Amino acid sequence: MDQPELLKRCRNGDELAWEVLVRQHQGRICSIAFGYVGEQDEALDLAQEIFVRVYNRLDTCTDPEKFQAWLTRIARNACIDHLRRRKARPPLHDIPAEDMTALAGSGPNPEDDLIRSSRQSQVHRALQHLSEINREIIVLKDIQGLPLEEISGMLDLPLGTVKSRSSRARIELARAITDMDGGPHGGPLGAEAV
Amino acid sequence: MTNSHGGSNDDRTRDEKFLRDVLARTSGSACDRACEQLSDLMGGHLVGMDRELVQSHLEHCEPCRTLAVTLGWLEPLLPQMAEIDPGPAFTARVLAATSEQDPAIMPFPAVPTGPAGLMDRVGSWWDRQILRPGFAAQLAYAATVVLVLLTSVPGAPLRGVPGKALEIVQAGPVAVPVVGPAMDKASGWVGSRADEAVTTARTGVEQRWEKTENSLGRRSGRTSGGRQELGTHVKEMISKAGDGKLGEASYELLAALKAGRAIWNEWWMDNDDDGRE
Repeated sequence: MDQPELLKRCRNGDELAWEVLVRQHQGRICSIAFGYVGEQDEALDLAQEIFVRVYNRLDTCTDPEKFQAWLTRIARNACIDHLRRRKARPPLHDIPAEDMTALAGSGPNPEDDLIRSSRQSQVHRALQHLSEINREIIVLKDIQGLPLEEISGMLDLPLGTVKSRSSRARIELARAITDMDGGPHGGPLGAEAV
Repeated sequence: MTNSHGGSNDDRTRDEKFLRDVLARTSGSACDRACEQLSDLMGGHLVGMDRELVQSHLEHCEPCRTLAVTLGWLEPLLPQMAEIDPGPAFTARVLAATSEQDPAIMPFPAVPTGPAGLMDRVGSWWDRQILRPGFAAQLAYAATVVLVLLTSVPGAPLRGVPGKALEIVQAGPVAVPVVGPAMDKASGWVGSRADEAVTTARTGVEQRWEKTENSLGRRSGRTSGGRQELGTHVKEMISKAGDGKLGEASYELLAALKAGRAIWNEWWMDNDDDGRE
């Protein structure tokens, strides 16, 4: 479907066009929200808030060809705002990581689905243990597949920094996952390593 | 018990401990260096001697091997997490939430620039702000602070103005140097116009009433005989009817109707001269 035409219709108040636009992008927006907040209900509420924000700011998207980048930027800003608010008012309960798997897509093999679902849950839990910058890089680069240049502009960091951070962020994620699992010796780089 | 290298597990453990001690007293752990290159190894970007060294390290370091395995399954998994299904209810929730909002309707792609664009952006900002809970209270608070700064701080441009305004309000419009004379002038003009209007209206009503009164007198005089006759016939008719003499009562009724018609004609006979009364 022609994205500029769809966007134009949305801006003119066409409800059907807006519904299609939401359906096109809700999977990505929910995934980004999940990556940042790591809890199902909270992520869905946040994703909804992102769409309301997008709806109210449709007129600020001047280049329809870059709608995806514009949308991601709004989503990212909303997530950061949300995390700041949450930091000011921490939740009373621990984040239930099992909730993440409920939103994972399903494949033809139930056993593979179970493994994938379990691993996705691990990733989401581990993301919450990463530094803010590394979590953003994992979500934006490794999960969403955004180009490094775009991430560089979005995070307001030099391209070289984003590149070097990228591999370190992934290592940190892997380390967080193995640490959560207990690790063979209490962690891959613990005192007992080598 | 022997391992694949032909040595016992005890021997191997001892060798590993020896190596770790040597490294601890010399170059330090090699794990950090191995981790730096793990991503390149998994991505197939590590070649030659570097690749062999990292692989050798992984062969002997279980924690780093575990990390490499985790990176191995993360590689294909992460892109699969780019989209998730929030369920069918999600779209409905978003549509319900946005249907309560006014869309940012604007002919595409015209985004006004310059003063028009500024006004547009300010308008959009204002529209969003007024929907925020507590905005009215915040605005009132801000306005109060601004007002206090403008009127109460020594040297403020409007210092003393509220006191003067209060005096004027208490004294009435006359106390206002500019408004007072203007009010007097306007009040005088309005008063004279009102007096003129009242006088004219009163004269008109009096003349009209006099004319009507004369007309009524003439008509009353003309119809006095007929009214007496009508009264006599009506009295007789009631009397006859009471006696059961219905025939005579009916004659009296006809006579009364005749007298009534005569009164009607006499009453309106000079209507053309006087006009409608």
